[in-house]
Amino acid sequence: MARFIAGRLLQGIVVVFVVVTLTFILFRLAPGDPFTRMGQSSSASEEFKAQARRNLGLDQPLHTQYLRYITNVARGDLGMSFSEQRPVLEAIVARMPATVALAATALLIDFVLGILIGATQGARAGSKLDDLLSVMMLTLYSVPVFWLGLMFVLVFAYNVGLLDLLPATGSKTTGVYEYLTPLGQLSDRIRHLMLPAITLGLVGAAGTARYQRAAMLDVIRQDFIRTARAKGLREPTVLLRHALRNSLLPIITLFGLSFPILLSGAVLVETVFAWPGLGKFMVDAILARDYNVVTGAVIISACMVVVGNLLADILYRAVDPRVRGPA
Amino acid sequence: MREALHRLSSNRRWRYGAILLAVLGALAALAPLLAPYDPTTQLGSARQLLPPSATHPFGTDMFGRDVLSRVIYGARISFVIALFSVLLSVTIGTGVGITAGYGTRLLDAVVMRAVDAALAIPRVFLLLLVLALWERVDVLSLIVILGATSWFGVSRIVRSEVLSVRERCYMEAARSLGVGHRRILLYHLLPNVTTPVIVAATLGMGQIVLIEAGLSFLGLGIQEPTASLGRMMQSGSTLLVNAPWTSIFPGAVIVLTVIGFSLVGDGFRDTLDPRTT
Amino acid sequence: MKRITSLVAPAVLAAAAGTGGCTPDLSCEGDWCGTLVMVSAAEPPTLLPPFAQFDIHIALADQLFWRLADVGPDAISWGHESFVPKLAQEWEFSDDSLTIVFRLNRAARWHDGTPVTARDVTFTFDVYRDTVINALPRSRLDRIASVTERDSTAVAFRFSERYPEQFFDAVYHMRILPRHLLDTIPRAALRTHPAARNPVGSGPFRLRRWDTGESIELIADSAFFAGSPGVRRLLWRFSSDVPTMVTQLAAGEVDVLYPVTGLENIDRIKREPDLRTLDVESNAYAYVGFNFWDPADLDSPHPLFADRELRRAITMAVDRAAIVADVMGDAGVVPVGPVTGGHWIWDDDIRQLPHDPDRARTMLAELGWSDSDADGVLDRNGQPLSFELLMTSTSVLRVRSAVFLQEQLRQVGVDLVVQALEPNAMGSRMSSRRFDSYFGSWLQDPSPISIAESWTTSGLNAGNYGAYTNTEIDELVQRARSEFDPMAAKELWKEIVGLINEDAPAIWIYGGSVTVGIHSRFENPSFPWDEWWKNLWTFRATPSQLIERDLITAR
Repeated sequence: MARFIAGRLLQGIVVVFVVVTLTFILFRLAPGDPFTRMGQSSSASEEFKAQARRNLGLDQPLHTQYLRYITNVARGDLGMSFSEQRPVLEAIVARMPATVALAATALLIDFVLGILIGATQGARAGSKLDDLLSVMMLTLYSVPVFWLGLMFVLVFAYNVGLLDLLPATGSKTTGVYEYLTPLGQLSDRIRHLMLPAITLGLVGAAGTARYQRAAMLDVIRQDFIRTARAKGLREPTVLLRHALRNSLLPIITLFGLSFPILLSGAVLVETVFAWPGLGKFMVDAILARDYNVVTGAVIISACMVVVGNLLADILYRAVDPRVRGPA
Repeated sequence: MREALHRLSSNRRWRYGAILLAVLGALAALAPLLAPYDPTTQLGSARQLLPPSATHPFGTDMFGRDVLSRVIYGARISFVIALFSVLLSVTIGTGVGITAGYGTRLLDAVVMRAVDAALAIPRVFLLLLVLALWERVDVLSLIVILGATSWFGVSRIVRSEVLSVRERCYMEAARSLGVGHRRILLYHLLPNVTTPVIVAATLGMGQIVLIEAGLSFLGLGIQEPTASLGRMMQSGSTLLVNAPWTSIFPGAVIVLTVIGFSLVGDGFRDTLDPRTT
Repeated sequence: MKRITSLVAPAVLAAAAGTGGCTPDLSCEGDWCGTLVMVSAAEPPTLLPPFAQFDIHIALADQLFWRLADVGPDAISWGHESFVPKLAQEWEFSDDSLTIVFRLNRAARWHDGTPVTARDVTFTFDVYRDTVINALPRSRLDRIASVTERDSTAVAFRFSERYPEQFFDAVYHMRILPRHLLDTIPRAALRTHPAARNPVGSGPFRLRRWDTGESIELIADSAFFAGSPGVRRLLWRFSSDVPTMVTQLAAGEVDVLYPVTGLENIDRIKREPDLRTLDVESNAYAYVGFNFWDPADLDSPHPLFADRELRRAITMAVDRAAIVADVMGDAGVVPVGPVTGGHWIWDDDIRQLPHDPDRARTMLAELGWSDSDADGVLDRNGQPLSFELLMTSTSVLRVRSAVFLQEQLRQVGVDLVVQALEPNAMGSRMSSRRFDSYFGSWLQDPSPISIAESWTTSGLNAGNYGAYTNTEIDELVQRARSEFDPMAAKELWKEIVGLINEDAPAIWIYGGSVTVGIHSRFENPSFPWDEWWKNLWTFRATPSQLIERDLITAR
């Protein structure tokens, strides 16, 4: 197992390395002057700008710049954020917990709901319930995630009694939060987390349900299920213990695939709910022309995906009965 | 081929989806003929935020523009962007997949690592980066940008097909003498590759429609005054209570379009993909 | 927020915190409680007044920093009798009227306890005049020859000439800065220095916490020399767009939204029983300004806008009244020039360009523009008549006005491309003059010189982003600013505005009145015309209507 993890970790590092190279290429390839993109020079003098150029190494040949960029990133130096006047890494790390909380909760909702619905559909394949759920899932899958969010905001913001329970903007009640007890703070954060996480999770659940339904059908058709039934086991036992458990394995691979999709969706959800995470930061940074942040966010998000995939792979290996055995 | 078509049309999902897409697609294609008004013409302050009526079946927006016309033209743009960007991505993806699968192991490894890396970046993040750097959001640029960032999955599919065919071919070619690999590859490769690519392409079109709507919603896609479904939903978001028609209709069209692509894609997968039958 | 939920929330909190023990510090009792929550879209990069670029920046800074004296409620900038003492408690003109001596209030203190002294004032003058700092009001201090210390609480302003607004210039533009904390910092580093983000002022509030991107929390100074602030805490939140801010106001997360823009948003706030809307006179006007120089090469004239006839033609093509009616309804006003209705020089007989699209078309044709490729856009020598309009993404009114504007210009064959940016990015583009045209807004101050600041040579490196100059107007301004007879001065200023209008350096779109949304528990809200944020420190929450966050006393 340890060797496996080490191997995957190495692969992950290679992937991140390639991502960093990719961002370097894109940054240099894009039209315009990389200098203005890096430092947002406004009314500085020519002399000042020339010095700044030298400091950033822009007068060096390309491969030197590349090496410099790689070593900087490896050290954690992703440049300075113009809009916040502090290192990009610091600004991003400040926002990451919010996005991770959102993504993790959404993932939970996504899979719990998706597996339940999909398994139900698989078990009752062809029935009216299956058809109804199919239509619902298909529609949910096709609704833009930001629209779902807007609908939630509409419902909760116009029904103000509900709003106190489940707020529609932000991640905490600013101005009150700082004075709450830790338990109160936790409760405040959870209440703010609910709507954005449900929005993101629901759309994901629709996709997961479709997948789970197919997986469930696959398993149910197999021989060992017939055997179980023939042995006289009750249907719920058959379904839960045998069918569901075995259909879960491919779902774990879906787990890993979900991370990029989840983060993508998080950008829109964070914008609708004013959730102060990485996605919203990236959108604000684009409007502010803070390119260092935009580039840094891409690199960090790739790292998050790599880590997520690693975890999913470990989980898969740990759970897969074909792989388990004397270590 | 004929058998495939027959199987397709007897698949309920595919049928419904195809009809839906055909209707929407026809509406979009015939936009200049069907739209009662020009989508960007403002009809005057007396005609702002009018609810649906006989003269304006979908009502008007806050600038006095006919929502029906804007929805039709917006759908047109969505279809055009989805179609051409997917075409582009399929072309690139197939090319890259063949190169990787057919080339040396080193080439394969390098290319696939690059693809892995690109897949590790969440799609919206990558799009936002490219949009921020290139700062051009006319329809053509969007097609190119979306196409250039969507081919990774296709390349993987194509590559694995190439590899499996190549294995078989080597065995055959070892027996028969001197028959060109390339010709065999082409004749064996294409049929196998087509199906998963078609499925990926169709589902991909649905995804592109959603992504383009999302970009417009963030203010980073198609700019005013051009009609864009996502943009309409964004500007209609504050009017959800007083004038819901400004965002409900564009939203419904998006949902129907994506449903259409999803059903057709599912139908393709159910009937044509040998692995699922 | 509803009183019912104000009972529910603490109950829920108490229940949630049940086993843990103490609830949040809801210990405020008695008369002095209250938290005022503001919200705005642009977060200032620094709280030091000389660096303020937008009204939001100075609105925040003004809670921490005070002036020597301020205009009275009538916002008269002439003379000195109507002014109100602030850090200075009294003043005296010399016999030749070229010197004013201010005596500081001995009770005035910096937040670290140090008294405010005359040396702070001399230091402040130095900073505001420094070209490295490049404060926006720098040119307004031109006729102050020197500021010197007489003794620790007396400071003398010496002027190079007599003119009616001497007192105004001495007191209005500068917020006094603490010399003992800032003078050792090199000026070039001041903007990004930690002291700029953690400032010590002498105003009614001091900074407690700055959560970047989220909020700034200010605590009232209970021993403030001019009286205790009405609320205990002032929280200033930052949201990135108007719909979020409106939702926050409607939900009670925020107490004041200035302004509430968009007719549907005003409508929504009106329907909330706990909120009030106030129609307030405003000194802000919004305009589309042209760049006279080429953004690609700042030494060359702009290919389009250096031509006066072209600017006039484009201006005449625009139906400003229609835009205002569409975007603001009845509350909107069409400016007659770079001046708002509350200003004493306003007159509706000021000369302006008419709305005449036919004449615009003729003028454009005479300039050589025609639609040779029949694409709907005029062109000349292969160049289309197309230009970019830059604006902040956060302004609902400007974003909407731009769409109407686009259509109007399209009718005469002009292609307008709209680009929206976040406010600080916008400020950066404007100060580096990399734009074709921009949709900006100015806050007028009580002196008509603020017109000159934006629209004449004296504003060239400050607010005059388009770099518009006209020597005839410059001369008139010199005469007007020294004219002691208010009537004569008004006529001169009207002539100046008329001349500016004829040159058409910008199209004045809307201005004059805004709608404010405020929670009804604040019993005495007032929003002065010249600086709506000035009286925030006097707002008081009715003791019988306090909600949960009002009860928090920050330690």
